[in-house]
Amino acid sequence: MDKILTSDASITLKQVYSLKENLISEFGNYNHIVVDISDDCCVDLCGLQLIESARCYATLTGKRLSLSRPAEHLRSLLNDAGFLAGGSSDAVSFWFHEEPAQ
Amino acid sequence: MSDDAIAVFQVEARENLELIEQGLLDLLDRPEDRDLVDAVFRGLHTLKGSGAMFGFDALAAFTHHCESAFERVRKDEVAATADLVSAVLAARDHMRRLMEDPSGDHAAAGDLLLADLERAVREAEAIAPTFAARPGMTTWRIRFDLPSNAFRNGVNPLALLAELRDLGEASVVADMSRVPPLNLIEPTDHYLAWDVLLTTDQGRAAIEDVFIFVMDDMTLEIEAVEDAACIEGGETEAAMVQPAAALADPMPNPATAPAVGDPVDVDVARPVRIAESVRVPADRLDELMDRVGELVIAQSRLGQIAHASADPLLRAVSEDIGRLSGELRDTMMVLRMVPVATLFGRFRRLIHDLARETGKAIELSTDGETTEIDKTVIERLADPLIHLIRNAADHGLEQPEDRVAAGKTETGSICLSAHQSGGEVVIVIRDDGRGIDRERVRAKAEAQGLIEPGAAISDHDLLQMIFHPGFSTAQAVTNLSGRGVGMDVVKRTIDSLRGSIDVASRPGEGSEVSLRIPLTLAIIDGLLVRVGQGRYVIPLSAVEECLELSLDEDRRSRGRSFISLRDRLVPFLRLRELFATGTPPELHQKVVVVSSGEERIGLVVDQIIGDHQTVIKSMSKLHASLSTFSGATILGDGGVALILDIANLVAMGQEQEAQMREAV
Repeated sequence: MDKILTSDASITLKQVYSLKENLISEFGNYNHIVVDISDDCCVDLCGLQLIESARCYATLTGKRLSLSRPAEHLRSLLNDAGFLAGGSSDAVSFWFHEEPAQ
Repeated sequence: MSDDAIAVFQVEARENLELIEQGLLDLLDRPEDRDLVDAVFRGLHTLKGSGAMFGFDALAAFTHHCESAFERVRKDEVAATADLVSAVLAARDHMRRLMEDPSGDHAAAGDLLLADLERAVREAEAIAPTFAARPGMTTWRIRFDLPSNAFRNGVNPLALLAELRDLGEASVVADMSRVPPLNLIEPTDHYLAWDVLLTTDQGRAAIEDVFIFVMDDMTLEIEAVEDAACIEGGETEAAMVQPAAALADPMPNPATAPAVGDPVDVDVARPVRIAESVRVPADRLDELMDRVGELVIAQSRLGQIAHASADPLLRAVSEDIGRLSGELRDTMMVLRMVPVATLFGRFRRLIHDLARETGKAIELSTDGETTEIDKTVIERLADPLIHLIRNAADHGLEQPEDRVAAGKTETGSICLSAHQSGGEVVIVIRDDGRGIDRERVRAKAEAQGLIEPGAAISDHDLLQMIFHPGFSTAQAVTNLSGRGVGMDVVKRTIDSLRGSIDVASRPGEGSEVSLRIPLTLAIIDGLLVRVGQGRYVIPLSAVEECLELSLDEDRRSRGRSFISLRDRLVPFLRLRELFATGTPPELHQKVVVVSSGEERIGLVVDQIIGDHQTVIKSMSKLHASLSTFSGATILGDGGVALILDIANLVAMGQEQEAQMREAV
């Protein structure tokens, strides 16, 4: 069974504690967590770091973490932060639901 | 704003001002050193920012002007001329005043300093900066990570990356290998690092400038890449990408993956936070020292009681407590020790100011800066050393033209050195100036009635005259010295530290003042001895050996005061006679051979009781004039033992020897 977790209006330094608690709690009950990040959701580097941490956790525990829709509005931020550099297929498919360019 | 917060700000501001001063002084020697320019600029920027944050508005506003001026140096718009650096040094002193006395009226003085700074900047504009020319296109490999509190402190890594991109063509790869899994992450901690390949026509300094305000707490590696083609070929890029892709590597076997709800034991080390140092107020350290002192006294009492008891358990406990209190004392001592570098560092500025005031070229060199000494001693040594250095610069060193005429280099040298010798630290101030004019010292001493005209006096005693109150041979009273109040203050301070002072001087070659200071003023290892009915402590660090003096030998040595020690005659003092105990000598008296500097004497005592951890208590004012004692201590039985002043006793013994030689 999947669990859809809707993010608040922002995933920033101020919200990372509560998001972490929510994710930990839901990973305890579900094998697949889907995070819904709306187009107007404000995300900062601290928020990105937490999502990467959640991805790491999911991988290590044999669970799944995905986004409900491509986070196109975060592309610029992810590029600037170097999160997409090197054509990491994993990152591209997670954030944008697309296959990396060959 | 709480008083505590302001006190912490002031402590940090003082340290920052010290660093700014050291940076500026270094810049005088290496004006082309961009790291120094950056360090000074960062210091000014931090002072301005924290000053404003803590309500020190005048400090923040004043520092802002200096920061702006220095930013022009950083941007290669003006050169870091000696005049400009000196103007900022003077401004730095004003910043300190604004920090220490924020409510004072310092505006007028500040305006004058800023006008001087403006003038110095204007003049420096005409001089081309000496920084190295910009290199051509270079590819740099930059790796940086930020401290764990970076997010909380408002550091924005994206802004840093954007600045790097502004410098040229940048390839940025985030390294997420240290981001822990969700169950282990501290969400507001910073775990990211970045690898950047930057191709730019800018130099290393421009890259460092990007990180200038976060550099103190971060890790930054910058290296020029020799062969950019190699990077484009993909090999290097693959290596750089690897950290980012590393997350995918430790893919677990799904079969062994924990079940839903199981706690996850992931082998990802949390960043270990190591506190490298702790700031402790000095008075708390002193308080702790007092407590340790009382413990040592109590332990001494316990030891005495246990010694008199037949109870083996009590003895065992007493021995344990004795050992522990000794270890605690040693640990405490180490806590109080600070390197003399903290003291010597202050004098670079003094030398700079003295050189400007006297018009002399002066070079300061230091040696043995890692030598450690009790923090209380360090604090009390500062003023005497300032006097001695001022004297060396003002009286000792000649004007450049006189030096050249005398066959010396134009630049005079003042050397400060320190080394440990037994339980003492020896600090030497040496100059290569004209030396002390003995004729003038003698004439002055005779004029002041300190010696009879034409009286014979040893060279040592003649030179010691300069420490007499009101004694000065300076022909003109200057701002620096020559008022005759300096050297006697030096002597008094060194005496109060239970130290000694010695002067050597060669005409035309320079002078050397040696200060011998005990390592600590708090607790020492002592040798407890009995003379008559009284007990005395001899600092163990001064003891060389103990010999027996039988009644026969004592009788034979009447009329002379020497013992033969390995073919050397060593003068000795009979403490029973010196202290007028009125008691007969013991059957087997002991001679304790002690030394101070190069000199040795024997002290004849009735009995050696044993070693004793001695908590030093200062003498009352009534007894301050007793030169043979440097303090007192409380013994285990509650009695009091006086601590012998070895330096004075050795001098007394040597004097006695000289008199006897003259009599012969």
